[in-house]
Amino acid sequence: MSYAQKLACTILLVLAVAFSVGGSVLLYGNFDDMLSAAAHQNGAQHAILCYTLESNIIGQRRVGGVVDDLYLTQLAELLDTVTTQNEMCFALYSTAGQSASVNSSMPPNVHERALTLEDQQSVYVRENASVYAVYKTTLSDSVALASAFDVTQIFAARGRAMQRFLALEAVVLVCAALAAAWLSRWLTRPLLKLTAASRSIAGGAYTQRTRIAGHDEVAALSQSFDTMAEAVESRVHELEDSLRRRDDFMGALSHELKTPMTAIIGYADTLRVMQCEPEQQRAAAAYIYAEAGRVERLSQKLLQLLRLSEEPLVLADVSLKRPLAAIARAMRPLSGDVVLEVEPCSLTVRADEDLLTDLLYNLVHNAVKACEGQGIVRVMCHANEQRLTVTVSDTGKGIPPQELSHVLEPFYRVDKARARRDGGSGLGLALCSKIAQVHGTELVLDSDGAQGTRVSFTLCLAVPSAECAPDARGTDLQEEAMQ
Amino acid sequence: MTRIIIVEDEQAIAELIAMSLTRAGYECKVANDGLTAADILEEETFDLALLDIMLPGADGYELLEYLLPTQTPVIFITAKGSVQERVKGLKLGADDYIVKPFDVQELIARTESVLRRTGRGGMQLSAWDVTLDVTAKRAMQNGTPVPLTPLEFELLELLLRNRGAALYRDVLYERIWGGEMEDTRTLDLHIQRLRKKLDWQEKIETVYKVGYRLKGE
Repeated sequence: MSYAQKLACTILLVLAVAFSVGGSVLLYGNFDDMLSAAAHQNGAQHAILCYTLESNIIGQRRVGGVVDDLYLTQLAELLDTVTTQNEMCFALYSTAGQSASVNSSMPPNVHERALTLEDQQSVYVRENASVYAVYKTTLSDSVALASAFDVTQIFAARGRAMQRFLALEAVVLVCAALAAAWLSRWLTRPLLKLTAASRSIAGGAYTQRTRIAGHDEVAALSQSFDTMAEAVESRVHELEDSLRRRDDFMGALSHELKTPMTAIIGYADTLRVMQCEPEQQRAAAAYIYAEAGRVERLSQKLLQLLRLSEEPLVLADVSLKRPLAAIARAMRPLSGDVVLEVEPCSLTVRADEDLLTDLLYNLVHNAVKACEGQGIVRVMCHANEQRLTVTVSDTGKGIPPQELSHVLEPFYRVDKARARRDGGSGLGLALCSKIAQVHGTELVLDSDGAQGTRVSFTLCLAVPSAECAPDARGTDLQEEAMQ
Repeated sequence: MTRIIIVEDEQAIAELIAMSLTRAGYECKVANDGLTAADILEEETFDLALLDIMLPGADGYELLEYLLPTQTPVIFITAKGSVQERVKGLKLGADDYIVKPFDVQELIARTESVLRRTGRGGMQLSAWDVTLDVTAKRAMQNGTPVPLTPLEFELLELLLRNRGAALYRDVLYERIWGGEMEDTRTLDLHIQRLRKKLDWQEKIETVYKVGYRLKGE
């Protein structure tokens, strides 16, 4: 049964009950009123008759008469004349015997019942289709008068009223049913709208909204439904994005692995199949070695990336002195003619020393490679309130502005040919970005495409009881596909 | 001689392919990026082009467009192996598509298949007085057909393809009979028979501790 139908039925039920109860109360109340009015009147009349009889009997007594059956018959005749205009009948009894004078119009049933009545009692007696109100009073000298009044009209009136009422109720209920049906369908229409909307959203139409106007609960429901739909839509987009990034990453990764594998397998197979000249053997072995090295570097970086995603970071108070010194030392044999200036700094930051060293090493190494044999690479530290900003700058080949936002993506290379020659894994900057991210900061790149690059990040200074978020900006720009 | 151009920016792979194809009897030219390849293609014609798709300069698809009007057959070699990439490559007009990492033998087989199909160099291998028609599996010596069993034919073909190189025993066995070599005599017997049928006792050389070699030019 639908909600609209339930609503209509409920309205109808309430209406029917109210109507019936109200109507009954009204009808019966009315009936009671009429009956008591009649009873009042009849009672009064009966009293008058009693009084008349009483007066006569007393008069009779006074003149020394006898109250016998004969006298009673006379009295009856007297009463007859009085009552013929009214719709009533009576019976006179002498209590000595049950014989009495009975008015001709008194029905037998009523008469029987009247006999059994006590003094001052009144009762309603049904005789065929008529109803009589019977009163009985005992007068002096054991004379009793019973009067019966025809009150059928009142009962009949009640019957008619009841019929009229029922007919009216039927008509009213039918009209009410129609009105209720229409009304409840109109009221529950928003619900259908909500149902349709939720179904289509479940089917994938995430932009669907209900937008029901108004200020009532249904409108409120519509608004919160729309808010929910909004949330679902953006979450779906997020997930799709995340999935796409993961797919891209996997695609790039498998390409990066397949290429060296092809060379390794190819050359190894050649060596296996035939006896080669020493120079050929050497060349083949050299290729195998170089490509295997590439795979090794790649897998190392990959593992690092994975580990960063899984293990929670343990921060400690790390002085920059050691990492900076380590880098300067490590880069010396590699830098060639490139000038490396590392600004000495002994400030302490909240970081993981090994990761920080890795990060700095990678950035400095990249900077040196970008210089392509000549230029200057600088590492600078700048403290500001509770934060320390580290910047690695180079005067080498910059990054074109349009590539700037892509450079931190895994396997992205600006200059593919050069990257191949260098044997780079393509994950260097992605790893740096991840390290920055787990420290709660991010890499900020600045390059104008021709005059060098500056990469910087911010860390919290290790100040006791300091609450510090190293970089207020969100990290969702650099979200890794591996997550 | 059938000329093949190899366009691949990974030096190691480019050299590997060139080495294998040269040994198989083709003349190869290598280009490491799209622009160099385009220049070469302008000057020279080839019987087949092996193209990588992801190249610096012009990419594989662009080179394909350039090559289509010249009726040069093209095989794409690339790591982009998804179905849609392959379909795309083939729909654009490539004759075949091979995905990295590949078995060099497979590459050679596909190369020959394409050459055969496009009617360039229906594969014929020859040395001295013997010519092999690889497609028809027929051997001719001085114009007369030589009756060879299928295994003998394959063995001869393998030796011809790797002319001048000493092939290891177990590899010879693996390539022709499949599986591990258990008994060395099958191979030796077949070599003996070949020598006898072709009268090539000197030409098919035994290489000590290695296997056999067909004497080079």
